[in-house]
Amino acid sequence: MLRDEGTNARIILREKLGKELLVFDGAMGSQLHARGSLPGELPEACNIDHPDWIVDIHSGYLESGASCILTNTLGSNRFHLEDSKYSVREVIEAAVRNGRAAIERERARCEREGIDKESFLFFNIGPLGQLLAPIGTLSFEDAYDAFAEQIDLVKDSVDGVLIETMSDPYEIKAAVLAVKEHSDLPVLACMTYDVNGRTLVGTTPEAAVTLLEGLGVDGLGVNCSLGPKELVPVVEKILSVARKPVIVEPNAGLPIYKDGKTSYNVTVDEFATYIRGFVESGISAFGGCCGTTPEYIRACLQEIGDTPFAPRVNSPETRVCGPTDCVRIGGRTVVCGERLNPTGKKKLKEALTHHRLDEVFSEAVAQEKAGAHVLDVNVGVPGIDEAQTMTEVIRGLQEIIRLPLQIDSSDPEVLERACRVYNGKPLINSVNGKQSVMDAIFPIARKYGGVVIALTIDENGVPDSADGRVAIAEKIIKTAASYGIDKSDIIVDCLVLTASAQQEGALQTLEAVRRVREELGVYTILGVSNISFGLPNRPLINKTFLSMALYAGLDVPIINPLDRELMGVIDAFEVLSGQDAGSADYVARHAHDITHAVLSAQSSVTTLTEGNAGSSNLTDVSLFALVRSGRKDIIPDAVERELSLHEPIFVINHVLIPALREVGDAYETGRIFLPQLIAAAEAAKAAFAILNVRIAAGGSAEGKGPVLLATVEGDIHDIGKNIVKVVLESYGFSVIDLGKDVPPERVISAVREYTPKLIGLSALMTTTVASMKRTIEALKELPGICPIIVGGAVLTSDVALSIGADFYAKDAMETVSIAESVVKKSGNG
Amino acid sequence: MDIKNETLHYLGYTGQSLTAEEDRQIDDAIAEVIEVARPKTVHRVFPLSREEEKLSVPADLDLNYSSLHELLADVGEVLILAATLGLELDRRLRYYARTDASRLVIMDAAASAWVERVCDELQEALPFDPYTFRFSPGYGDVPLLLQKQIVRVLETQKRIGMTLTQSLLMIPQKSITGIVGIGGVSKKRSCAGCALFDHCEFRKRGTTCYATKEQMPE
Repeated sequence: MLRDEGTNARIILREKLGKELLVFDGAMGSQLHARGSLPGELPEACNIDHPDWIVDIHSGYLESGASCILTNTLGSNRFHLEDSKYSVREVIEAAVRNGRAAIERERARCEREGIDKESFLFFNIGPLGQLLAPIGTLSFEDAYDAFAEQIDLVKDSVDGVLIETMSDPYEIKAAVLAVKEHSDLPVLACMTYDVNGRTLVGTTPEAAVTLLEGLGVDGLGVNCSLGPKELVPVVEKILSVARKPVIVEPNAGLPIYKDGKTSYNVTVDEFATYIRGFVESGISAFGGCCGTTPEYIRACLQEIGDTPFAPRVNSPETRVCGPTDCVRIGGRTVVCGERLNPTGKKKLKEALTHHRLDEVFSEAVAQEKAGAHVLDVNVGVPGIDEAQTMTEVIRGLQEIIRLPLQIDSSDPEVLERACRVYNGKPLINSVNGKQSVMDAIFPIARKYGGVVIALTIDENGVPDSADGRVAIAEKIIKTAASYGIDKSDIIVDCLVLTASAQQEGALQTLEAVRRVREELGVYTILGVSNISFGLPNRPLINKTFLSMALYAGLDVPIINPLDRELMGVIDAFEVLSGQDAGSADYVARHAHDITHAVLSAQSSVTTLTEGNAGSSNLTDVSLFALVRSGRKDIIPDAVERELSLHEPIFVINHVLIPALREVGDAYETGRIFLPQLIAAAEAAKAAFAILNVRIAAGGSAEGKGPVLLATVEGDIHDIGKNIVKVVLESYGFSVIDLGKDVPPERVISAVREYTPKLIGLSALMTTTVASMKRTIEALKELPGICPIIVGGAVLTSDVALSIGADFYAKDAMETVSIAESVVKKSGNG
Repeated sequence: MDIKNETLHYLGYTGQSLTAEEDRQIDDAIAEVIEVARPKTVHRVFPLSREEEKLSVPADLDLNYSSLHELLADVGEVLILAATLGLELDRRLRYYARTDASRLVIMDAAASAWVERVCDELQEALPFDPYTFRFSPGYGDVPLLLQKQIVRVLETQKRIGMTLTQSLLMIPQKSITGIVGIGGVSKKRSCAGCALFDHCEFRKRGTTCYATKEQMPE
């Protein structure tokens, strides 16, 4: 293949995409099984073992009317081929040769028969077979490298790339980035959906479209998973939002295994009828997946006949997404949670400085529960590696919450690294009217996808007037366009100034909001609470300003979602503005509100509290009893009562420790079982948290530890480690939890950073005990290393000693007693 | 067997007294597992052939381990199955790992019970009888490595969204693969060959991990 021809084919392909119906081939795997390949064998080996089969299968599809064929390379990556006798290079080169041979054969046939037809060879990429971290253990970077290795081998020898059968948006992101950074090939990307209309990882079609269009694919769609009938709702959802050409490749229904043979339950005619329906609905390309044959493709073309090609045209929407769901801006009010920003928050600042990310994560969880739709994430505190912390926080957040994130940093380097690891399409906070800032940020947004927040400030500061701010917004939108970024991917922050300092500023901001929406057709965002600095009863000002801003057209208020009154303003506004149809959401959220009318001498004030019938009547129960019975929910009041009578250290020594001792004994003797032990530990931990703050304030802090905990590399079963952590903390130890799947280097760097008194490692499986051994060996190289304790289902004290550990603990209670003795020896605690 | 009894069994419950609140929390946790789980199964049945002491099936699957020879000694077909509760449950468990450890351990146990139940129901719905007990790679002399072949033969990633990590752990975490003999004598499970035989907490309490479903061991 000459390079010129290849480049030419790419140009032609790009021209045809979305302009005429492209016809792809059908199944490869089931065709190979029909020729004698066994279930479980790698179909990709057939490229070398049976090239004649592969060329024949390709030719069958081309003759049936397909113009685009896929190389037999769905699993041709370093992970699937690990146990194969063939290398990635051998398999891929053979597959491309076979594809080219079939295309050459088709060209000759067409020439002979006087048919004018151009055929294209697509390199087929499928899942790597391992799930990416944080749910799995494969790192995003390793996934990227595996895809890049494939692309490097084909970038000059195929006409396009089709990524298929993906369930995980993170994996498809790695694949798309690898294609785009290692070639200039057109790339189409398909995900596979389950009967519930989401991928097996939970992604909706709308979120997939949002992610993929953000990444700049040339086309996108759905393949495999279901028969054409079951795909109808998925295809409709994709078509309702996609702005890129849509491709659909259904299975021939579901597989039926009988007498060692596999067949599929959708007939050729039924399949063809549905494909014609999809073409009428506006798809741009089709093919077949599992169980389809050349007959299916031929029948589709007959059925389609001269059905007009009419790809769906959608107007742009402003959407962001996380791993599973997307949020549209510009309809109902989108609440952006402001609390993951250390500015003015001492506690969060300290948590970030000391790497106590659990506190960051609980803050996120609380905001999600309170009803936020998007969370701002800013980790800018002095003295930490901001980019490293940002990527770590994003990954941790995306493991446990579904909300899209707003990546907030003033450092373009941090934004770039964060956008790369982010799973989905984020909000990017922010650009402003300064040319240098736009030149740094827009390329990042263009490459990874993202909705960019445009601050109406430039070299000359914030203009006083609405005019000035609208002008800056306009300039930013124009500049974005020059980078290929549509204005639907911009939202404007007209900037809230403090009313106590610039009283006339409030109305100017709102006027700018109104004009940005009306004149520029762009949505808006505001950090609401800035308005009230320096004034008494700030919540009152905030609420009033929020209602005014919503009325002016504010789409995304950045607020504290835990502030029920502020959230209530939005609910009420949406009733009065008609957005909450039938007031349904308002009633659902506020039916049980209790309003207290409190009369004072001159005025009546109404406050709103959350309705809570059946509230606890246990307020008189002792702290000791509450710890024993595991009631962490009502611990704070009990601690305060004790503190009104005693010094904190007295409460620890005479209430908490005896309670824990009793609980420990009860557990050891079988009077209570695991969940009761843990509930008690959590209650004690909650008490310690309050008491430690008091002790620290009194200047006589005396923590035990720290103890470093990690589940070793390769292992994701960390429930045992989590139990140990809670129980250790309940005994007043400070614990640094490195999480699961932790590489030895990470443990070592944490040892250097925190100089722990004890290191605890856990591993569940025999396969990961080896990894534990490697970690211990690496740690023992360090001079003056503290003792190491290990635990896990398949460990025994013999195994523990044989892999170099100092201690083995069978459960959390034993870990506590060992930790106590170690800490005592080392003269702390 | 009742899912709550099995959950309590996995948690090491031996009749401790529960307050009404604790009892409710266990019920809630089980309900949440059932709500969040998206059970999926995939299975295939293969005829088993024997030649010179070697077992084979028409698939790329190596059954020649002494534990499997014992399991499949007198059966003519073998059922290969995989089941999973899905990733959303993993995500929820991770959420509780950060927020509520006692909820976490109860849900973890409930999920283990639930995925076993899903396999039981799959087997009950199939028109075969009797079965041997369900054997999983990692027991006896069968290495975890066999998981790789099962995953490929059943196409678990595509069909039910189950994959293996580099260290051969299954993801979603609440997943099971099984090898079951069909026909012949219905073999019962035993603790022989279990990796945890010498230090099993269930055995120390005079029970087994599977005791709620089958008879107690001798």
